[in-house]
Amino acid sequence: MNILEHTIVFMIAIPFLVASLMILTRPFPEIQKKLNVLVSIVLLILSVYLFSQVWQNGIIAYDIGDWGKYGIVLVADLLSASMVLLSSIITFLALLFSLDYIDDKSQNTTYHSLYNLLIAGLNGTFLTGDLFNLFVFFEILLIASCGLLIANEKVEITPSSHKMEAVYKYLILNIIATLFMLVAIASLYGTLGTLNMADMALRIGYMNENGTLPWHLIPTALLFIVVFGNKAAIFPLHFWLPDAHPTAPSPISAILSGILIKVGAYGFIRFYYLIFEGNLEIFQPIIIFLGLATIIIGSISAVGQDDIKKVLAYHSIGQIGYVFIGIGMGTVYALAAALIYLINHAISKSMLFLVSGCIVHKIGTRDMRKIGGLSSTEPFLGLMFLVGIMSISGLPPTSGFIAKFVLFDAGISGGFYIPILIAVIFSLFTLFSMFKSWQRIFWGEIKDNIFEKENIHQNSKTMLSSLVIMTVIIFVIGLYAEPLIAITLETAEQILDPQLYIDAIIPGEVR
Amino acid sequence: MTTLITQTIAKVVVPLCVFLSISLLLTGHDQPGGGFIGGVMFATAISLLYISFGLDDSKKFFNPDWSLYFGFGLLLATAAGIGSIIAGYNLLRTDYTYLQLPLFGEVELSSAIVFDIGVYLVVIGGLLFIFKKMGED
Amino acid sequence: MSSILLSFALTFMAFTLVPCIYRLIKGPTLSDRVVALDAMAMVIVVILGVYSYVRDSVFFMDVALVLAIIAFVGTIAIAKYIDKGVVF
Repeated sequence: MNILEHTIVFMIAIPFLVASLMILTRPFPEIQKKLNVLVSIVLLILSVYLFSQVWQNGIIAYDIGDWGKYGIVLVADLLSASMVLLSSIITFLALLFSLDYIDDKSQNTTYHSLYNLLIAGLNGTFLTGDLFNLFVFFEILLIASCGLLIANEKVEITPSSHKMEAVYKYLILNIIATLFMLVAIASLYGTLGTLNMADMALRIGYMNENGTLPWHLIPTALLFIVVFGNKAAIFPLHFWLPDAHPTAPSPISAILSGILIKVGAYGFIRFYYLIFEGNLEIFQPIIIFLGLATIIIGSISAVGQDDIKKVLAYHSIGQIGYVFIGIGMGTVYALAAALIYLINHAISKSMLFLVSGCIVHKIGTRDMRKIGGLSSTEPFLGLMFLVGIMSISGLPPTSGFIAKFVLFDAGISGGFYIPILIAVIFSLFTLFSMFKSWQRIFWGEIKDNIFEKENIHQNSKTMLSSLVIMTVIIFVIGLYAEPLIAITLETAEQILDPQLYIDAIIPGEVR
Repeated sequence: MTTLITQTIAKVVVPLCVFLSISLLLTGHDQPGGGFIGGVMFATAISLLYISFGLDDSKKFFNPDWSLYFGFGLLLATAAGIGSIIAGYNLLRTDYTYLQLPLFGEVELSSAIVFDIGVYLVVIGGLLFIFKKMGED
Repeated sequence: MSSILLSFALTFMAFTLVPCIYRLIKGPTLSDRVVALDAMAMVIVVILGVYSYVRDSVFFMDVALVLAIIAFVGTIAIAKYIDKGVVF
């Protein structure tokens, strides 16, 4: 089938095309919504097909414009294909949720086209093999997510000034990180002479063998840690997250916390294990220290919050620390554990944000001090929230238990006893604060739960169905984890051995 | 008094600037130029028009919906890429021929001009949509 | 002979940027700073013109043209903002 060879570029080209169609079909809102859902389902099927192709046939490379390694190369290895699959699932479910949740005026003007640009940016970030193209797609993600942060929900709980302040902070801090990224990419290009990631890995390998590795690659690597750490919101660079994620509408919060933070972790894995492979062992304690500091800061800050979404946002900061500990430890098992933790956090945190969106939609306020005893009127939402909490804290039989177990096992078998001890202690903080917020919202004395009677809406079937699908995924991974562990072990082996990646793009050159 | 000077100069500068933007777009393939800077020049020209004549007066005789330009430009750019997939090559592969025009002699025409016009319309639509929204606020 | 004159011209024009930067930092009002920026842009346009003659390539002329237009429109926009408080 000749047309399916181009699957890897359809993942990026179709959302761009559909974004333009969304603008042109603005007089017909019904057609706009149905077209968007249809394209989302098509992208999901294509990402499953791409993943199965990569699993069977090895790494797929695709030159744009037939320029070869001098142009832009799109590469799908197991890590890229699995991240694209994850992002397709989460964006599809968030789209189903947002059809009834977002204000009609916002949906009609800019929401759907910006949503498709966001999907295009995500797929492009995960599939590109060129460092400057990564930068361009980071910019597309930044601008699209800023436009989506300002979209209005049907329930008016966030005043416009809060949204403006959050967007301002998000934009300024990320633009400063963009400046750093430009300087780092320019320095790397000036030293190595190429922008292709596989080609860079080859040249650093040659320089290392000849003994002429220039010293200024080490500060460049530090700059890259700053850049990708800012996207992933680790310890000293996390200040934009507790403002941006709560004030966004709930499906956009789910995408931001679920997938956009993971873009930073993905970039970090690519730059650390592919380009600078084997030359950066001195950075290992730094990464583990940053991960631990992130866990400590995130878990402690989440305990005293009064706003549902701020608790979840601080937990997002904390959980990314676990992923960075896994990346820093460096063994195959630890890297596979980091990937399982990433997948688990994406699905669980998205589900928790969507559940809080349902609560907000029904009740009309985000403040936990004013809500109480909700389980008498909303038992289904209570159950969904409980499933999400169990998954984030790591209780069996959910997928969070598998993720935490594998991560701690990898740490102990790798010999990192003290970091794992600290991580275990602070995961108890996570457990405590999550259950405290569950208890405050759903149990306790029944307060007057309906605010501003003209502001409440009923939760519709499409919103609840996305929650049910996510619950099913969490329980399936929790009870039958063997395929997932096998996939991530294979992925981790592929990450740690970049020769396969280089072979797919530049045949015949040995590292 | 000062606005009269600005308006008279704007009446001269705006058409020249539009010609400059189209010229930068068309020679963009082998020389400096291209769709992006052409779009920025066009947006500068139209924003000079908005500044010197005021947004309300300008809307009376010239009021296009800029987001349609954005959408149409994006459609054109991606259609240029997908067109090369239909022809059997990878995305965005372009080809060139030589045309014989009566006054200019032999001119090289590349099929990347469709993509460049798409980028031009995207930049115009994006920048002027933002300016107009900010001006109305 | 002409190369010495051209080098002297380029150096002298680069030195004329220094009083402009002084006025940019010291200017008590916004109008002073705007005038300093506009003067700097015009000097850079002329430097580009001479440099394109030195290097014998026509591509710097496009840059000079674009920079002149953007400086012009920018100055008019800030002037309207100072006068009326709203740009459009």
